[in-house]
Amino acid sequence: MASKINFPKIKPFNNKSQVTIFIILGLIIVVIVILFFLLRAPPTVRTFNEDEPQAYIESCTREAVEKAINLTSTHGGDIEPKGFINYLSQDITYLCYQNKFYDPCINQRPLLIEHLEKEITNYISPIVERCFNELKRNFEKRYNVEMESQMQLTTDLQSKNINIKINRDFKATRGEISQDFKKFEMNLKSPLYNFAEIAMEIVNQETHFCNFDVIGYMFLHPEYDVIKFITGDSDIIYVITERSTDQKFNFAVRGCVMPPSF
Amino acid sequence: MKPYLTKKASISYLQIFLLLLASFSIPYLIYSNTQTIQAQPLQGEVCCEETIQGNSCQNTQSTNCNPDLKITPTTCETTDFCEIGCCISPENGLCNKRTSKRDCEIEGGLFESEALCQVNQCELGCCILGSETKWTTEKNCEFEGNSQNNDIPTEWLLDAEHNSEIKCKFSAEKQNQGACTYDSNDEKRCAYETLEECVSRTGSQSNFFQDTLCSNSELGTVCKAKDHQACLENEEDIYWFDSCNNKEDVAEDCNILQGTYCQEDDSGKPSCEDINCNNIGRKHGESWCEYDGRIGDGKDPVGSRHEKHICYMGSERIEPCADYRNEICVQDNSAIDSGTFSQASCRANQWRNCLNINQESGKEKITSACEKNPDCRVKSINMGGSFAFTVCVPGYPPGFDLINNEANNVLNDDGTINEQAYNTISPGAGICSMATKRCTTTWMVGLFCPGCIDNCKCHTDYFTEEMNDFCTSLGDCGGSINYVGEYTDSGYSVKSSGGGSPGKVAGDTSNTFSGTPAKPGNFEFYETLNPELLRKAGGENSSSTLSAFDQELMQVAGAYGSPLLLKMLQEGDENESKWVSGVSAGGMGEVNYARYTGGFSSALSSAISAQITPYDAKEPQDFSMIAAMIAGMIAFIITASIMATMLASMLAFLLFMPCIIVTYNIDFTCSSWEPPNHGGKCSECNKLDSTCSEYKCESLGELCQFINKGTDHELCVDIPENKEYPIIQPLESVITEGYEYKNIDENGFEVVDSLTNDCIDAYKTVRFGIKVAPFARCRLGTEPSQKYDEMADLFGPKGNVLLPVHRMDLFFPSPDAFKNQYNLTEESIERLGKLEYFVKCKTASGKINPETYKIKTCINPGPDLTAPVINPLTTPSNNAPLKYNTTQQTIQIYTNEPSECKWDTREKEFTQMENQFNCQTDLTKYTLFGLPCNTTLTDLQNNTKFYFKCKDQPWWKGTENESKRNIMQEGFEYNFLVSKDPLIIEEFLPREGQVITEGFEPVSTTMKLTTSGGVEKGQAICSYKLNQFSMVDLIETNDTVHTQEFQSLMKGYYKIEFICEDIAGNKANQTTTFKIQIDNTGPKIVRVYYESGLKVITAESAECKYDFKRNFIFDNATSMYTTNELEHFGEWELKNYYIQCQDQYKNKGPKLKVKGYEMF
Repeated sequence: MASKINFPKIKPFNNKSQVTIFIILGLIIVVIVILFFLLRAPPTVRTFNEDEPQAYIESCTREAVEKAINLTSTHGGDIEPKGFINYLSQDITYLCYQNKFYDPCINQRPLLIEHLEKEITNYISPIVERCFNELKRNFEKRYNVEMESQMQLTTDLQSKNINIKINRDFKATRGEISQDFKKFEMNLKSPLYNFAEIAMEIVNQETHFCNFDVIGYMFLHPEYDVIKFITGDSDIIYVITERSTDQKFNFAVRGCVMPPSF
Repeated sequence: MKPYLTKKASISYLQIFLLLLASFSIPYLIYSNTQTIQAQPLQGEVCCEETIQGNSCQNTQSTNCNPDLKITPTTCETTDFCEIGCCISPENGLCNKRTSKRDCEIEGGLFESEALCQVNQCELGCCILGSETKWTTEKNCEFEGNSQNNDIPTEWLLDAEHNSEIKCKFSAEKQNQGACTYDSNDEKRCAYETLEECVSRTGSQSNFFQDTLCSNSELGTVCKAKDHQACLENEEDIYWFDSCNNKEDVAEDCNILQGTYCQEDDSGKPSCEDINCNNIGRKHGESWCEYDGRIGDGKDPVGSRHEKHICYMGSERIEPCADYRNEICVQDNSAIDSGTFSQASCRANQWRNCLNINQESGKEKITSACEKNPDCRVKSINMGGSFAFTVCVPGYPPGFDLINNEANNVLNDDGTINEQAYNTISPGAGICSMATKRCTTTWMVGLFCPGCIDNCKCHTDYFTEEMNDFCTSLGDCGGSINYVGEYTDSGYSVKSSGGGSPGKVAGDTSNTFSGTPAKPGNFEFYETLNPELLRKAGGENSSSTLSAFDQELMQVAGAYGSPLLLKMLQEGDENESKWVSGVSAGGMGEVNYARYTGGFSSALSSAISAQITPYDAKEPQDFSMIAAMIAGMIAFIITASIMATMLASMLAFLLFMPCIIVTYNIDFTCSSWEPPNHGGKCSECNKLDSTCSEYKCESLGELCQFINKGTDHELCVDIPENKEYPIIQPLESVITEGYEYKNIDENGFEVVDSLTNDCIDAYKTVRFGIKVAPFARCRLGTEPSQKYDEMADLFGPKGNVLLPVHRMDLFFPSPDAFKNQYNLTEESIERLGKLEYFVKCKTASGKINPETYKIKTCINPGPDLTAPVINPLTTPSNNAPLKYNTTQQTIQIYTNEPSECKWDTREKEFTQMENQFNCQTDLTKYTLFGLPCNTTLTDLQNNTKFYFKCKDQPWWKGTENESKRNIMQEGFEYNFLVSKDPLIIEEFLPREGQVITEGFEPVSTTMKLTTSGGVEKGQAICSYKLNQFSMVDLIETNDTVHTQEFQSLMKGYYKIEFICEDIAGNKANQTTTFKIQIDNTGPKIVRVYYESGLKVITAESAECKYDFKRNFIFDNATSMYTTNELEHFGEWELKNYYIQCQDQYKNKGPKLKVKGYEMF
């Protein structure tokens, strides 16, 4: 005789149960959405004082310049490195390079200071543009705003200092009240100019002598620490550090490379 | 018929169709053709304006170039856009050496063709910016002054007190400072600063009190003395500060050179912190070498790398030298008051020079030159007879690529060998092969004969030891250890054709550093590397003798560490002005390494060959691997035959039998060092105490692989072992046309003539090869029972490289030749003609094919029906040039088989030719090019064309078989080029007695020569000798105009000797002496007075300017009018004039203060 299996009977959901399930699901969704917004990185809140648009632009620009300094210092002078070595997972630009054996390297970034100025200008210009647009939007809530379409932005690297000048007419009027700004200027303490000078000196010596004496240099300039590392492929990585701030500048050199055997 | 189907309409349709077709097809054809043209890449090396990787102006393959930018089929130096020069910033005045014109212009720089920036704009001087100084260009000084603070007093000086960076740095402290008082908030406040700063702050000089502290009670300021102590940025000492935070006296004297430096703790309290590395017993600034084990004497282990360690500011840092021991770490210790102080540097290993020294003629010259180079050592080998030679070998053997990344590319998809990849792998093997040598021992055999009489030690282990020592000195060759002390001996083999074979010897596995670091070298050594740079370092002493001090300094300058630091420590920082001589702390000089890259192999081989004079032969002992192998087999058969004959004779004649001379060959083969066949020790490389690299990792085992290169997770790891045994198959693609493989099975194959399906012809080169999987090294033996390690010969030139394919060439003389030469039996001849080779291959995992792979072939026993062939390679070569007035010349030709050769001045029958060659017919003397024949060609003044003919089988000369000999039907035509005139140096610059005046050192000048006559209308190679330095070739030579630019000449007298030589050996020499003088003083103002305005008279031609401020920049000042450059005129004003004049060399005179006033 064939045995009969009795499956337990499942009671179908009634309407109340369904409502409860939907409520629970709804609550879960709400909690997830709240958590998503809470756990997400907090939005950058930039204090806006309509009496000090200069400070607003400066703050906005400063962030961008700091990022640019960080990128150029890490990558050896380029925001997006071109002609580089990947070392310790970082792309580091060759400031001096020679692909042939025995020959000294050829300077790849002459006028490094001017190059850095261009790199920083190109990097921060669209960011500053957005800052102005944001400033304009905020002002437009209470003022009639006239903003010059073209912006002139210049970056000047100086010893221990970076100077950013922005020339742009920005006029906000409300009735008889009028605010007119033409120049926005900011200074940032940074040894980038000095790093570039040292890097250029190192490159000059590498092109001439196939060598740079680190200790000799540091004795004359104890404010900087220079580390030189030769990889197994004879690429040389230089790291310059300003002792007082611990800021660093990396770059690579390849020249006078001798092959294994001939 | 409908109108659209008429004949006319049909024609119209056809026309429309053709028009449409043409509209599409013609553009398509043009397009497709254009594409074809664009797709043609430039062959060979080109100049890329920019590579794909983004590097500008590189000479490389066209495929590496950015196709959107310029690509020219020349070197970058010859292009306009990639000309190398100096790039000067128009903004900040900084100079960039060796920059391409293209990059300079992109950045908006000013381009000068002087690559090393030896131009006025780039001259460095002391820039005084207030109380700070900077060693920079004048323009940059101005820029710094303007960008920092317009009021800051700026001055750029290059006088005797400011002509070096050190002097400049210390001059900052000499700036006069003092108290500057001013009122603020009803208080009398004070700042300690310079006069200029004070005037800038207060507007008056009366507020400045030089050399007075602000806390001085007489000033009555609010500042209280010695309020607190603190460190000053970039200053070593602890200073007192007053209550206004002005610097006062030194509170505590720290000394960076003595290892103390001012540092503040978290609370801001300063102290002289000890910055020595006391935990390792090193002083601050000290550098020293550390090694992976033993060094020098040719013993550096494979994979080892020299390292420079530095103690700086209390911490130890490592600077590894270039891998593959292309750099060595040299060290020297100096005595200082507090003990010793070591300085180290990574400098180029001059191992290439060691091999180059062997090109010197004569043992004494080689030894002398070798001993002068600290990176070389003299290796003398003497086996008790003619096998004795002296060579110069590297003291620190170079490393080679142990794993060939090209191995995967050796086989093309179609089964053929990629020749480029095959030939580029294992370049180190070529160097190792320099130690592959044959020792021939000679025996006098008989009952009362002496036995071995020449090179008897070659039969002992001493031969192996000595040859392996020679072999390992050349690089990663032979039997040696890796840097963790693991020994392998697969890199060499030794075999004997009889008389007892030396065995392999137990290697020296000790790997302990002796404690003596590598030597930096002395003045004489550096002189050989870069005489010009040494001159520069020699300072003003431009005579041939350098002072003792300069010589001492040269022992460090340009070689290692910081000469600056060493001298500071020795002299003390107070005496810096006594010793500063402008020596760059730079280091390694400009060594043109490229000139050392050629010709070593042949140089070393010929150097050794020249020294070995075998007992029974005067011919050079060149041989190829194949010839050596055959010769070995021949010797074995011959010896066996002779020994059998001798034994029979001995029995028959006993005492009456004369001594028989027998020779044996002992061959030592030196090849690349082989890593151990495992990967167990790969992780040794990952230890923290040293830097791992690809080279180091691969030295630990065949199965070690360096991964994550370039990342911060670089590791040396074991790769999975392939446990398969190698499977060998014939390689179809390489076999020479006309030959084929036969009877192929898993145990071997035969090589046969395709036409006869039988033996191959004598004196024909037949190439054949094998495929092996997995990749393996393969060797060849002559006995089936031989193990891999016992097999002395490699399977082809790359037999010791892990490859998927191996190939080799066979070349056989006729067995018949031996029969006649050695009176062999038919049985011996038969054995000689049948050849069997046994192949064993070893994979990276150490797996060897268990069954020996057999390759058989046989040599056609004859008769020989082909005429001998003369190798086109002759000595001298065909169409060789002859020196002026040469009447006769000895020459050497090579034949492919034993022959009798003759020559004449006209094409004649062999029998009618009048002059004989002296030909080598002994097959054991077979060389790489064939059997040599020598003669002297005469009457060269009247005749330069000759004809050679040869006749084979000379052993049949004058016998009944004379008619069987084969004669060359067509004569080998040989010509000489004759020099009609002697070679002459027509003119040269600098001229004798010339004086060259420049404004500053170093001076650049061009030496130029023109030559005429000789064999090629003056074309010659010229070399020069500057004062006592060695003779070197001019940079631009091998033409009729020869130039050399000197870039670093210092003032003084110079003597240059020139020697020019053309390809015929015609020589011309000349000498010139000239003087370099420096005009580094500015023009003197001898008179200033009123004459219708301000009038200035200078002692020499000059340009004068004035300003009413003392600290003016010359270029910005007001120019004075001049007619003759001696009298200068300016506007008259009743003010204080500051006048300065500059000569043509841009030397500026002192600023003269002149006050204009009216006389009543």
